[in-house]
Amino acid sequence: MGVGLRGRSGIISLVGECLRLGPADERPVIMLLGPRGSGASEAHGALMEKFGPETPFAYINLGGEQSLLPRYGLALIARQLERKLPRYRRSHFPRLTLGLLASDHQLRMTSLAEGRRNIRRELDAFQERAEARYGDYLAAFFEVAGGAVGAPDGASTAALALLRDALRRGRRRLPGRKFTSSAAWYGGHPLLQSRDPWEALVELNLWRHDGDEDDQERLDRVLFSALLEDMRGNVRHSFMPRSYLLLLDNSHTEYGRRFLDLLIRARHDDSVVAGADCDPLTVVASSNRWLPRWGPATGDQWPWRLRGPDRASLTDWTEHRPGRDSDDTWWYPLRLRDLNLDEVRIRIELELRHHPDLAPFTRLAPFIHRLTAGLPRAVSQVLELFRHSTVPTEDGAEQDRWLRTLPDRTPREGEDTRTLVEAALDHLLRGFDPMQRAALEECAAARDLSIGTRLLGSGDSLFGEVRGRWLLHSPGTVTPALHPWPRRLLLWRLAARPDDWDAVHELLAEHFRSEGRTVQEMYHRLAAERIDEVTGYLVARFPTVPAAQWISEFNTITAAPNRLGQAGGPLELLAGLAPEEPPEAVTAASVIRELITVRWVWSDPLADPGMRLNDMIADGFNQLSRLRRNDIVALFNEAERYRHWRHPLTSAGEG
Amino acid sequence: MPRLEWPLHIVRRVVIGVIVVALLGVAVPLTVNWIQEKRARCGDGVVKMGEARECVGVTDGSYHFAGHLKAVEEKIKAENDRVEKDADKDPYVSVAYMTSFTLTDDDSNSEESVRHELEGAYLAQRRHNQGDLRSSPKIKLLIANMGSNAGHWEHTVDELIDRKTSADKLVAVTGLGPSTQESLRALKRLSAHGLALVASTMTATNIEGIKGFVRVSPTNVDEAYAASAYLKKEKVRTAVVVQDDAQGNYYAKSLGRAFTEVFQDAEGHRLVADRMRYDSSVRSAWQNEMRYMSDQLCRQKPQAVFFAGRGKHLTRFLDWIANRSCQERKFKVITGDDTTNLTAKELRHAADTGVEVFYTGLAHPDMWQKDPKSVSGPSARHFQPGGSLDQWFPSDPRHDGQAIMAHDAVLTAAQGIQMANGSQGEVTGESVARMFHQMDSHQVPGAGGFISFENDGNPRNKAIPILHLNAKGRSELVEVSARRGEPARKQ
Repeated sequence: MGVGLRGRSGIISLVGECLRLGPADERPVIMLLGPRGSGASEAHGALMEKFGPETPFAYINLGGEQSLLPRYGLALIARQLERKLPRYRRSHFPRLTLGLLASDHQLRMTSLAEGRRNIRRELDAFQERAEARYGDYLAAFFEVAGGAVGAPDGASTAALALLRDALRRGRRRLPGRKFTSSAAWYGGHPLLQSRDPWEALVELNLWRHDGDEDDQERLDRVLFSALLEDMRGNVRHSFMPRSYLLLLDNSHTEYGRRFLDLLIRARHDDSVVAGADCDPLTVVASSNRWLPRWGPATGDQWPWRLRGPDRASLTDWTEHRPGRDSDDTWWYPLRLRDLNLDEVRIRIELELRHHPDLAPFTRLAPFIHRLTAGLPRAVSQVLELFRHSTVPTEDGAEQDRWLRTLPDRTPREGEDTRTLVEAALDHLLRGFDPMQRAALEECAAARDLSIGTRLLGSGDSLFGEVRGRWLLHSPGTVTPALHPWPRRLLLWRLAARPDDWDAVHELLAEHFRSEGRTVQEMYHRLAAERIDEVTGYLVARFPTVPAAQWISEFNTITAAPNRLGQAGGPLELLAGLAPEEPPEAVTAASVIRELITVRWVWSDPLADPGMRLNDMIADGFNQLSRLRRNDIVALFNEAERYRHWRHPLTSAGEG
Repeated sequence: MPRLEWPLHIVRRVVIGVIVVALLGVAVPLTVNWIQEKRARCGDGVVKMGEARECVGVTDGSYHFAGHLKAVEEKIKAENDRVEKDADKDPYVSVAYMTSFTLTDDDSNSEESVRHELEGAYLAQRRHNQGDLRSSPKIKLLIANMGSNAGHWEHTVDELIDRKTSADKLVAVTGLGPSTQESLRALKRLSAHGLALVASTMTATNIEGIKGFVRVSPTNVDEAYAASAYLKKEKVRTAVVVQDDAQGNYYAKSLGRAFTEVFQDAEGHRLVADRMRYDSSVRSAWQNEMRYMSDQLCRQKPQAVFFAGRGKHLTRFLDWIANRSCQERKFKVITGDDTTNLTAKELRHAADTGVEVFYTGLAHPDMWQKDPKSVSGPSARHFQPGGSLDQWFPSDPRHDGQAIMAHDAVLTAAQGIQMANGSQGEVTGESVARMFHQMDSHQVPGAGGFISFENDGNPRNKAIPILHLNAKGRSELVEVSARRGEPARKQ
């Protein structure tokens, strides 16, 4: 399994299940959903590597800068699926090829009858010209749409070799002059009015060259139907695969959505409406956006609830798919999750095979996981930066100081000279304009993004945009928070604007004060470095609420972001936060103040990359327990937790 | 039809493997056979067979079965080539001359005798194709070798049967070898395939009544009768029969039985002892058995000994007689035609024993001079000194009569072919064989006598020469006899 699929084994087994199904069994259109960098493209590469050697597959990147008409996409798919594999006979796509040919060039005709007479001759002539120029007809489509094949990000060399092979080893020649039987299929297609095969082809030609938008769409639907019928025809024969694998990357683009719509519609029309066998296509599509056809991004009106990839299976799909009459029945949406700590650790170890220079940084797995929350692309970017920078390899204060400014670091070599924060945000927020990005920097200050966007004047559209791009953390949780990694980066940028930082947090604090949500208010007060206010609040709460509740409030407040200085390690940062007049005696207030500052610095992985402040926090809780007469177990436990710190597997577990 | 889902590349490999194995399974035996055949091939239609790797089969003269046959085979080949060349003007059919041409000590025939047979056969072919008896269709003469003791008769017979339907159009097989079991089997098989058969020197009485079969030689019984008549004419009153008891030697059995029957009569001719027997098939014993016979003869004191056995055993018998204990007694030894198979050297050796030897021959060149009416003059002339055979094959004395018998056999076939062509148009084995029984009024002008046939295939009252082995080991014609005393004359 490739690095990209670590933590995605459920997807591999699901695709394996689909490929093993009988040729006429129903298969889902597997949607891999997640923000940019969540590893969907890597998953495509891993699927290619896993199944490509033994299964005919086609990969299309629908997110290219070049627009991809559906007919081009179909031709690219057919060309790749024609690849000869040792264990199968070569697949043929005569109906699709004929349909593409018939609608390619405008026919010279004055009447339908004349067109009917001419079309065979013109088809032959056109095919011969295409073969003379490109070797075969489908190869001609690479001239105009080759860019959409590309290679998925993060694909392994094995996957790349397979893809190159699929493109190179397409068939050289069309399957002779088998037009007649394929033309007959068009004569019987319900979308075409002509029952005569050759007239039906003329009709296709007219749709393409003289038709309106509806005609164009009908043409695309017929061509999709032709591809599916060709596949059905292929798999009926011996020594043919049971299924074909279609990998559609970045299918959230306009052309991607159209492609998916047409595919789903063709399958639904053929299998449900017309009652034919289901086509043998196993589709894995990835999308960084919520698709509009699913209704509002809240998901309330879509019968599907996103499924986790770990337990993905055909049984799960069958149990949860809506009724067969709805065309939503074909989707199987899987929300790609972030990597957990173990997976990050394994990923680093796997990277070591290719990059032994990463060896000193295996220890930093918890830091990387805390920093990125396990977003696969972010993990890769951080590791890449480590490889190409002068980060001290020795664990210690010097390394801590270096890591303190990690977001502003640039790779020492390579073409990309952007800082980490720039490169990562450019990738994550592609499609957001600079105004939106600036607004997002401010809105990111709020834990609840919806409040941030509302209060800071960006409105619901920005929130909807962020939600539609799967940039909210932990879907389904009560608080719609930004994913920790983009939030951390956005706040890093905001911190560079101190006035805006303070203003935003003041605004948010005021908002929560007016709402009586003091804990949230204090969160933002601390962010604005108003430590004494926060101390006052928590000191007052200490004797009055149960210890467990106090700890909870304390943790929430001290998770606040900071814009502390960028020089020095955690202890230097702490020194800067010390009261101007040190207390003369150890009191609850002095202990709590220190604990707040320590925990605040600690909770920022950039401020305390090595979690060196654990013991100080543990000491603080111990001291607190001495200042309280009862209900001290929770405090002891908390002290114990920091003393014997064990990194939580997921970012949600960090408190 | 259910879908097959086996991996195509594996299926391909298995199918290709099976095909390769199957091809090898066919190709290897074929190659081995081809190599074996190649190694076993001596010439067109002639292959090596048996432990002795004898070259047996059928040739048109292009392959020489033995060095001494080279001259005659070359002539036959030249004549055959000429016949084939003129085939569009003058159609032809084939006649085979079959006997054992590759001889060992176990064969009764000698190299000289089979060479003479082939020379006589060639003479008949020439006379029919372009000589005094010129007629149509022409004859291509095939030479068929059954191997020593006719050991590979089956192969040769199969080859001949194949030629029936080939371009050769074989219609008749002549010669047929001496009277052995193998020859008889070969003859029956050829008969079953509708070929006309003319035996030249096959004298065994029991070989008769076979479809399509005739012989130009007198039978053993005829010979025994003629021998008995001659002895009686010479005032011999007592005799003894010495007989080879070897299984399958029909010649000896029929000869011995017939003499026993005919010699004894009311006029006082009698056999003074039971038949004395030896078994030539038991190699270790037959010479000893003969040794004791000489003593018995001294005791029985017959005037004549009728030797019913092969010529080559006769020489050994004469050796023992020569060394008999009763040197004062003189015996006449009289025997059958197989003596003609002895070589000149063997005959000289026999003459050296000093025993007086008479034998009934199958034919003799001097018959024409002795009894001009008993044989065909035009035919006999070819066998005279300075005749065709002398010219073609000089320095090869043919006193054994084998050339005459072979000539007469092929001539009989030729006449049958000519008659079949004249009467029915189509010349086949069957039609030729039918003609053999129409020859009463169209006798074959044989150099050994005029020939027509009884229903059982035996010649009608065939002339039988009584020969005497002189001191030089050459046969001298004593008189021309026949079963009924008087041979057939030209009609």
